[in-house]
Amino acid sequence: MIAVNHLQSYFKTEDGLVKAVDDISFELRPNEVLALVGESGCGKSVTALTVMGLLHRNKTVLKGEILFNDKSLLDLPPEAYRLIRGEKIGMIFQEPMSAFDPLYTVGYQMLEVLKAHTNLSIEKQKQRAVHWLKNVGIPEAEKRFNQYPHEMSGGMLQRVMIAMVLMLQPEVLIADEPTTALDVTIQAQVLGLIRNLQKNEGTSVLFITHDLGVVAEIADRVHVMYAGKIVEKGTVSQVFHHPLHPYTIGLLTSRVVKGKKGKELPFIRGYVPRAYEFPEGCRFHPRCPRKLPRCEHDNPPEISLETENCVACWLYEKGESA
Amino acid sequence: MISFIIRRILIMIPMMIVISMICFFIIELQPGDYVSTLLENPRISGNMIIELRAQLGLDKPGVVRYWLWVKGIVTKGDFGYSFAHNRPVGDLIWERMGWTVALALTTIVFQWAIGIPLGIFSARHPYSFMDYLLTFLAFLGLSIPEFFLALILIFWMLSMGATSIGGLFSAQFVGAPWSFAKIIDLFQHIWLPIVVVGIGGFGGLMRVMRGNTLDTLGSPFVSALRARGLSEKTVRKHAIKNALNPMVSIAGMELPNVFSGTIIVAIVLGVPTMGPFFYEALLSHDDYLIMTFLMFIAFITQIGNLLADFILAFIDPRIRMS
Amino acid sequence: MKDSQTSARVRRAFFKHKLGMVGLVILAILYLTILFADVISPYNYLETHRNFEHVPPSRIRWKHEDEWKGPFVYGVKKVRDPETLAVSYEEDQTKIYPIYWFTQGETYKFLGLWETDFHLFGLGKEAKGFLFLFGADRFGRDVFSRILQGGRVSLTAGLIGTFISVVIGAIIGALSGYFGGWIDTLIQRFIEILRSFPRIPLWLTLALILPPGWPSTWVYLGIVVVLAFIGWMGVARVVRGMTLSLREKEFVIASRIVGQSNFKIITKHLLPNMMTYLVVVATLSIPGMILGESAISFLGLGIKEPMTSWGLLLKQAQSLSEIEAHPWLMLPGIFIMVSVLSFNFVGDALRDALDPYRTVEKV
Repeated sequence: MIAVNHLQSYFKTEDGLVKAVDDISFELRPNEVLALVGESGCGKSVTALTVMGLLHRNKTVLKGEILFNDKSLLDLPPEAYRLIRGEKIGMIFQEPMSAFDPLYTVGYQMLEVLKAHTNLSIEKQKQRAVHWLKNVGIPEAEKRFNQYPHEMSGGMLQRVMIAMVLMLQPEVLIADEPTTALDVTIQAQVLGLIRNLQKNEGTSVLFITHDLGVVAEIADRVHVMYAGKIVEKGTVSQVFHHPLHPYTIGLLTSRVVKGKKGKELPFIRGYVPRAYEFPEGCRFHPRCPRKLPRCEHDNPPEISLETENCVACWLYEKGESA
Repeated sequence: MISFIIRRILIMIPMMIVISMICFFIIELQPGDYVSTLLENPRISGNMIIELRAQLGLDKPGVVRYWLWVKGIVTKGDFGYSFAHNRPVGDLIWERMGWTVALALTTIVFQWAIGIPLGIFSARHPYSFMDYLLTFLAFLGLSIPEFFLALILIFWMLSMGATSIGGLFSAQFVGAPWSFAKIIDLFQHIWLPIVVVGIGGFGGLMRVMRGNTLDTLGSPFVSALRARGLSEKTVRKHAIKNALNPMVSIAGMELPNVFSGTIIVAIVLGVPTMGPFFYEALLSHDDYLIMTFLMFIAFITQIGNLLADFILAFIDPRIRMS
Repeated sequence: MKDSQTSARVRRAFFKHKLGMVGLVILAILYLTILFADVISPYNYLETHRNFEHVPPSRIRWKHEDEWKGPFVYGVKKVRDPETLAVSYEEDQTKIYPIYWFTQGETYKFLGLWETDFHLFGLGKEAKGFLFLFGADRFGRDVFSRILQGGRVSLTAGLIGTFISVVIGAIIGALSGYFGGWIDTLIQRFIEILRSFPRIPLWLTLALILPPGWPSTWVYLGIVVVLAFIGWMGVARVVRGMTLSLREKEFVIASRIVGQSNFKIITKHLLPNMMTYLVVVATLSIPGMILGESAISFLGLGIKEPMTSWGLLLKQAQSLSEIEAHPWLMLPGIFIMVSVLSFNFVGDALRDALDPYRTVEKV
């Protein structure tokens, strides 16, 4: 449904060209949940914004291809892109409170969206909006419809945002860390909500997060990003049980897990390089415990293994060895 | 909301009391009083001075005079007596208050009418040539002393051969009844003080609006609005409304500055508002006139701030409900 | 805690601001000029020249009857219109006064210390004509010299006033923010009340507190205090806001636990962290002070003769007839404008460099 080929999103800044997303390719297939996981600054949010066409035209350099149902998005004129946003590809954000205009009721904002994308009458619009508020599990939906964003808790507002996006029944949903700002219990509820809605509507979800636990709960496939590049791809079970890339291995072993009490918490030494000081060669090599001499000057390409997962690491040049 | 209004109005009472004390005290600190200015007149003997003082009640100690003054205000609406003009202060101020307030309000409207649209324009085309030009003009406006700008405009008008400069009306219309011609004449005169003070003030307004709008346009909720596929026009509507929010309080705080400017320009241009009056009163130590005028302006500013707070509560639901 | 990268970035941001650089250069020129005001002016600013009242600005000529002569001025003849009895001046081409560099002129005391008569340029001691670059005033005093001299007052009153208001404002703001409670409420209410008075009327009223008998130097100091009296409130508000946010930071709480006295906490921890912002606030306040002094002096309630300031000089141009007949008297206003503009530019550049996140404005 969405095919991204060799996408590059560079930002023009005073410090130079920031290569936030540097040549990534992936696919989002119908009716699946694909997780894009990585630490802050790895470029996952920028990927989402690029697909949505929300980057400032004058400040960014875009190369590569984004195909939505075989139609190229990057070639679209702004007005056509706008019609796709919301209607075909929806997005929910991390901070629900900053995704709404504080001066208008949530109901008004939902109707606004319906007015922009449908031809329904106002009564029908209101019906649909309230119906969806109920769908996402909001009690007293009619009352909440007339409330202002600040009158709701973060969790509830997040549900409203989900309702607002899904009520247009888009084919794709991009979720940019939607649960990061929520309490753990609410987080579980919202994740469950997203999973159910995905199954019921058949939406494809691109789920962006830094939390591996969330990935395990909700995703079918997962791609790991580091410093603007995708370093590993595979199904959730493959990546979690047999991680290939040293970074993925580091991420998985550095989690706080039951049963290891008293032992030292493993971590990946070093720190994520800033986007204008990426190292030469493989971007992870300064921190990699299994570095080869080649890693210092050559960036490894994506190597596909028979089991359908891919990894960008010189260790696997000749297939699965490790 | 009602309790909010009542609370604010109640607080004004002690504030006004303190204000009246400050006004009185400042005048008290001034060396001499109205009678001392008469000392220079050789025909007035020392004894006459003492008599005069007693007659005008100026021989009593400060605290007593203050008390009498406040009592007069609260019980009889008597703001004291103008020695120089031989009339009650209240009447004198009342006669000129109308024009003073009208001039101040018109100037504010003028500043806003120019400052806000230009600020929005600058924010939509940041770092363009027009943006730099407008910023420069704003700085220029801020840096010219208002009285100097008045002088320059007078000079320019003189060199263009204008005849009646300054004041509100040409000589023939001063006492005449209202007619269409008189209104035209008014406009031909009143634009000068409005423009002089307006130019000084619009710069700050414009830059703040520009800053607010830029901040809002870059804020996450604008991105979220675009992600819903709303048209740029709708997005702009939301952004501007949010950017205008803080401007309301700013308008309230600007009120004393506008008064300040109109007063000094009125002195230079001889506009029959409180400005020149106040100036004369200062020079002749017409104490009650000075105090009452200061108190009045402070009072109007308080009212202005109150109104600004109400308007803010009206348009911003977050404040309304706290 | 500035690492080299931060200070390099600050310097880069500051110098990148082109207008700020222009402003800095202009201010440097202005301040140097007023330092050497007596030397640069061709005349002593107090010296009156009878028979030369309200002379328009002298025109510097280079050629006399098609002959190159170097810079000079013609003499000036007073002409009285027989009907209106109005006085005007005409060039007298028979008298030629060449302009010399590094010449002798009217005496003065350099920096108030030693007497000399050295001037940067002038017509020389013997010349009977006058080089009035900006014309002469009502008493025949050279406006150019007076403007340079007036600059001393106009450009320093603002600085001193700002300094005082920053000191007072910082103390009051820090106390208000640090101790909170009723002290804070009281101070804040008081500031709110003071701010409901429009500045100029308040300044004028305060200026009248200065006794009329005071000598002009005392009046100068008094005006500076009056200006600072209103300026401190803005500083106090900013300092209070920053104190409030810093107060809750861990290092302050740690100091309290260790038992440091409040005074030490305020002076050693809180205030140094605010220094850069205080610089920004101070620089942004200077224009207001300069404009304030000009306004007060313009209305005759400020600087007193024999001292002079740009505002006071403008006072002579107050009436329509003066403006029409002797427009050069308005020139001091341009100096006010240029210096305020320069301070605004520099302040803006400083703010971009030291406070890019606009902490000061938000507070």
